[in-house]
Amino acid sequence: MDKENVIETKGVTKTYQSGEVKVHALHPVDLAVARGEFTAIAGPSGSGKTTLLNLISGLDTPSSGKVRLAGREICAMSQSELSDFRRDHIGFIFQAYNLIPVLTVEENVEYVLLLRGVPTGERDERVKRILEEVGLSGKHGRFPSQLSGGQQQRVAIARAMVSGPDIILADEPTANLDSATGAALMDMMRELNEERGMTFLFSTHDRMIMDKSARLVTLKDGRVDSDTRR
Amino acid sequence: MGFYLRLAWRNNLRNKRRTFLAALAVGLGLAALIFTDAISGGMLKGLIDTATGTFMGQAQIHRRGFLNTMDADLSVKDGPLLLGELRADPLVARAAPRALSFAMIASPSNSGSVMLYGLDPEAERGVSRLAKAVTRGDFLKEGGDSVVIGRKLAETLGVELGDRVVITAAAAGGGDLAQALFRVSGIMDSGSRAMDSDMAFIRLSRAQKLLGLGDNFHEIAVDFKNIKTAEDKASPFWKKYGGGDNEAKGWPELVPELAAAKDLNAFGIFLTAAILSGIVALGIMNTLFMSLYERMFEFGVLRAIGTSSWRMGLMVVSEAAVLSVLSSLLGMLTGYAACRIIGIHGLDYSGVDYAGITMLQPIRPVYRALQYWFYPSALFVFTLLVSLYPAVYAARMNPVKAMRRSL
Repeated sequence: MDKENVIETKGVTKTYQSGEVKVHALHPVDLAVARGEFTAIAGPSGSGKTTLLNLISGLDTPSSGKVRLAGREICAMSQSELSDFRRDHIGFIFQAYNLIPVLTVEENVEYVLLLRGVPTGERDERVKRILEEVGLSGKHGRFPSQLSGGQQQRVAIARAMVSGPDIILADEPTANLDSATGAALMDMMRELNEERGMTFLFSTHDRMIMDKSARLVTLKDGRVDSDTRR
Repeated sequence: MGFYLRLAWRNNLRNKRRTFLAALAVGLGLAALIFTDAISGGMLKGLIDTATGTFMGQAQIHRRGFLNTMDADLSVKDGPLLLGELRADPLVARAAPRALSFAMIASPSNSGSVMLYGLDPEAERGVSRLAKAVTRGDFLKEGGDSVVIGRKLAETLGVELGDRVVITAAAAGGGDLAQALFRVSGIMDSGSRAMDSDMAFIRLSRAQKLLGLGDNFHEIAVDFKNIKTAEDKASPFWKKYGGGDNEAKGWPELVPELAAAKDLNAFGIFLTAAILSGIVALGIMNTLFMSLYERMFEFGVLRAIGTSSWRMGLMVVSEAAVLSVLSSLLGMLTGYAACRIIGIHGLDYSGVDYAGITMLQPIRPVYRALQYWFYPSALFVFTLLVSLYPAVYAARMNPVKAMRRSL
């Protein structure tokens, strides 16, 4: 069944050196996420969920163990290869949205396609379509500062999804939103997940996200504490 | 590329005050370079114009050896024929023959040594400004034994217009002393110390008679249609008129101090450019690094979502390019405005000697196309080169470290 796993970690650990003290942020973690899964990684602060997401995304390198994404071992990749790999396979949704403030809604979303070398006409079409899907039609010329938090996160979701990546990694995507907006966005992401079959992996504290996820992995002290599918 | 330029433009506008101050600092550097070039160019132009236009001419032709010995026998070989050829030469605007000799000039009350020049007044009007320098009397009017001397020489001799002086010189064909009586017909005030105190001018025909030259002369002063010919050693002019028994020299050879001053000026501009480039480099780098550190998290995000190293670098270089264009516009406007303002009255250094030349006119800025395309272009290229350092820094940025906080 390995072939169906779009995310796979085997014996992944991460140890930080803090002065003369070694901090074991992650003990050997084995995790497999199948294509199309809608998974939340939960746990208290310091449990290692953020570290795990960093390793899965290739933003950080594990102290030991292996990470396979979309069928490729990423730990041996160079920074340049990792950058290209993230561009082609991973969409990011950040807690603080992290849109480029000097780019309009349309340009923020278009940027990812530009990186992938998508031709202008196709870019325009895809941007228009995804903005409609996330409910931002008519706002394409606005700058992030002219949008509400919820609207900015919708732009971030559109940016993450517009290139059709294999995996969407979302870090506390509702943390800066009120509960109603957060729930609406989660519903929207779930719909997109079901429609497009993209794999979602969340790191969260939010009970609502845990409830809406199809699978909940909890971490405790850098180890997988539970793994529940619904 | 358009996307990155748009992004760069907007990023520069993010902190308008910082961008404006950085552009102003770099722009003022460019303005200073433009202004320095214009003023020093103006000073050189004034000096060359004074040196060549007052009396010397842009080039001179002599019999080989004459300038070292001042031997009256060494008249220009085939002088009259050569003069005709020069006047027909397409490179030459004007040519004037001159006879010259060391001489003694004496009045009833005093005497002194002078350089005696025999001139053709009509030809001379085109080559030199002697006629305009005559402030009293006439410039070698036809007929009679008229002599024009400078105001200071007149004071030394204690003579006025119409007074008589005796000129004694060594004649050609043996060096016998020849003496003649002249009447002061004009007193000039050229502003040049040498001309006003050490020279005396008589008609060429009278000098030829006094010195026993026949229809020969010692010097042909030449003005070119383009003054650059005087510096162009590759011009056929020099071979044609400077071969054989005669020698032809342009102003850089006639006044080597001025040629040296020109070289020194070019070095001065280079030095100014080098110092300003250093300041510009530090200013640009400082601005780019400030902008980079301020947006470190944003750069981390861009890297995280798949922006390649070279695109990260391209963003920084694009911002530098936009800043450079803004700086150039500011610099060109400021430099031009400064030149225009100073150009109204000029910088008055009249009477000051430099490189052996007495400045006669205020220094006015000289506008050259180079100031408004080469310097800004050099600034642009230099800025791009300087921006490579922060660009490489951005390109090598580790996304996690840049974002400080992780996903």
